[in-house]
Amino acid sequence: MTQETDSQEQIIAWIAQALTGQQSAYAMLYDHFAAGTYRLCYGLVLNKQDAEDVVQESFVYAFKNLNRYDADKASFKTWLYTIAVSRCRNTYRRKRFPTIDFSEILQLQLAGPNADTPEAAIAKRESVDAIQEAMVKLSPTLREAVVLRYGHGLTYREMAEIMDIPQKTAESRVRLAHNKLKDVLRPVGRGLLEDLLQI
Amino acid sequence: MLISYLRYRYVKNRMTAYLDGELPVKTRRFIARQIDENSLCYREYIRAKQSRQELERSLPVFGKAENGQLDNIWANIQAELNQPESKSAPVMMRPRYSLSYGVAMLIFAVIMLTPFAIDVSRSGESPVPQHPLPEQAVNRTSPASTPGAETRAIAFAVNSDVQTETQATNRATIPLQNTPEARATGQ
Repeated sequence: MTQETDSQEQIIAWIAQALTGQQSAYAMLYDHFAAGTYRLCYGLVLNKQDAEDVVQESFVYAFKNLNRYDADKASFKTWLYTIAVSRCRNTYRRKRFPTIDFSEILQLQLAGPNADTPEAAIAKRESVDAIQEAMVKLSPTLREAVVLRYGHGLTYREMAEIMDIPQKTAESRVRLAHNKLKDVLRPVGRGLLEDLLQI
Repeated sequence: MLISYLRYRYVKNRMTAYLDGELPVKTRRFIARQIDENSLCYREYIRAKQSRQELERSLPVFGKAENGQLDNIWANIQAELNQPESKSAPVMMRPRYSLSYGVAMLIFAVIMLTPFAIDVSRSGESPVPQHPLPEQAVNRTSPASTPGAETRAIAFAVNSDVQTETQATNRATIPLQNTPEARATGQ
């Protein structure tokens, strides 16, 4: 909690510095939020190039309108994610038809240099593939709910703010997404005992 | 049985929120009791928990940026931010909606005036002439009242004479049936 508060204070300090024109503060803000924003955008648009474009647009907009940000209303993360989600929506509204990212297909079977054992790498790959498959099958609204909730660990309140919907709607969307994902996700090697031990 | 099923539905609908710890204490306790007592609810609980764990495990990894990818984006952002904003001469701001308002008013005016235009065109047309009865024509128009009316009156009178004559001849030519004369002649 203290760490979180410190982080929030640090972010506010960076914003203040950025508003005075310090370039390093912009860089710090970007470093802090870029990875999360990219993951969010990729999870929503499911395409590398589009995700990059949306991240770029979102940060440019956020930095240009930094004076409009009100720390009393929402955290910077929520504000930035709201901008990103809005741009992602524009992207998949423009692209009604699904596109295939060939670069990803080509890289699909290549293990990274830092990959652990081959079995672990394969299991990880399978899991990511299963998630990708599941995400494609979800509607954009349900995808947003799942990505924000489980990909970024946001509360329903934060989700409601970002998605611009009531909190109850956010809850029900997560539930609906769960129901849809049940058939697609097949947890392998997870026994009942393990689940019970984790309660 | 029905109550058990309804309870199961209730629990199922709230299972995600239960696992996320977002329910009030009372509801939470009720669901926990149902999970303990009802096998369907227990199965639902395990299933929801598994898919949730799977999502929590996989989604944070999903879509991770590759090495150098974020640096490229940052370079693009910097380039875009450092671009001098175009400070051209202030463009005369025209009222954006003037044209659309004008068109709307024009359409409105056309719609409003159309019925009148149709009526005017109808009143301008000469009515379909009705052939007056000869007697009326003769009676209504006095020859002395209007110039040229005399000829018309005469014409009608002549026509009426012709008509009465033809009627008379027709009557003469039509064989009489079922009359005393006809019976007398044997027809």
